[in-house]
Amino acid sequence: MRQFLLYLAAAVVYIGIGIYNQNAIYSYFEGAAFLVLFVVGLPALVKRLRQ
Amino acid sequence: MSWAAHDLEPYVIQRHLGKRVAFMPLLLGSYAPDMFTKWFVYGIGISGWHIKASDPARFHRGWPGVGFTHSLIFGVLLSLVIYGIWRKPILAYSFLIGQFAHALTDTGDTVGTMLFFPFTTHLFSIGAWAYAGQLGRQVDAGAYYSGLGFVWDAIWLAWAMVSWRVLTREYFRREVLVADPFFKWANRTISEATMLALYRAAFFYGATRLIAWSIWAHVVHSFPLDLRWGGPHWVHAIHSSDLNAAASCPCPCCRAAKPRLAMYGGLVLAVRFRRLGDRLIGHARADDEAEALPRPPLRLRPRAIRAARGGASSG
Repeated sequence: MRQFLLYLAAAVVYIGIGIYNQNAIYSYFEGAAFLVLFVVGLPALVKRLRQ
Repeated sequence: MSWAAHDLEPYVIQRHLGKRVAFMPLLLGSYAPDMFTKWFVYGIGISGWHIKASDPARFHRGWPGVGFTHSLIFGVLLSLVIYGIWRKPILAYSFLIGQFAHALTDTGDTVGTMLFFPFTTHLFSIGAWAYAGQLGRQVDAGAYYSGLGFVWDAIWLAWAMVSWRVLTREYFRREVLVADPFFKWANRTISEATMLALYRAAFFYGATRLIAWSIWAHVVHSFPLDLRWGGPHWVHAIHSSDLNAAASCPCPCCRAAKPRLAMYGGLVLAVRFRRLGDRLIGHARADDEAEALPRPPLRLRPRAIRAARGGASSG
């Protein structure tokens, strides 16, 4: 469930960015990089900061 | 051209073929025809210079141009190259399936694709939605998400969502990781969470850009919705007849292309519906037979039998 919510949050943020700046949704590579950063990088960063 | 359909089709194919395909080459095949050419169709600005094809539609789909990337033979040749390099059939035919899916999907717009290049430069087009790539990315997106292209993408999104199990961690471990050489290789270096994110990325990208462009086109701007065949008609669309070098191509394939395609389409639909009907009838019969059969005698567990026997002997 936590994973699903994280992906959902990523989707909402990415849609917002995409509406504001269409270059952010130019290709699959931007989407993949954003998703990896959001669902893997961000939780890892938060975990490290908490420690 | 299709937008999110190319991102979502691989998940639907994955659901149906399971371990028989490798996901990454399938996805790569689905992107391959436009991967290195689309930027030149829409144009790109580099330090004050604007680089763009002089005839974007012909460059993208026609000949002379790179329209051959949307032909079936291009997929076959690239698959042979992939097989030649890696010697893994699953990589080659997964790529081939993805590339075929792209080439066939793009026949949906008014320009279509040169499916049988180099045997003919005829553009096979169903003409369901307008091709407006020559007007730049934003107008193209606005037009696409105002016509039947929007419906087409929405169908693929719905179909991919129905196949949601392919996105689960268990499915990834059971079907994708064991079949895909890319993920097997990646498994040695990157975490499972990263691999999962990469695996789900095309779905994420397809679904989010469909929503983002639709909101951009109809909420932020007011592109009129026109769901008529070949629409939206407010945009200047390019048609296959505008650039078809073989408008009166004498080959038998071109002369009878549309009726023949319609006939094949009809046949496929008839077979699908018949199979579906047979399956439904089969299920109904099986249910009837199961109800008609006498119920098997109640089986007692060994402990219950012992208890019953003990009860009988003591009584």
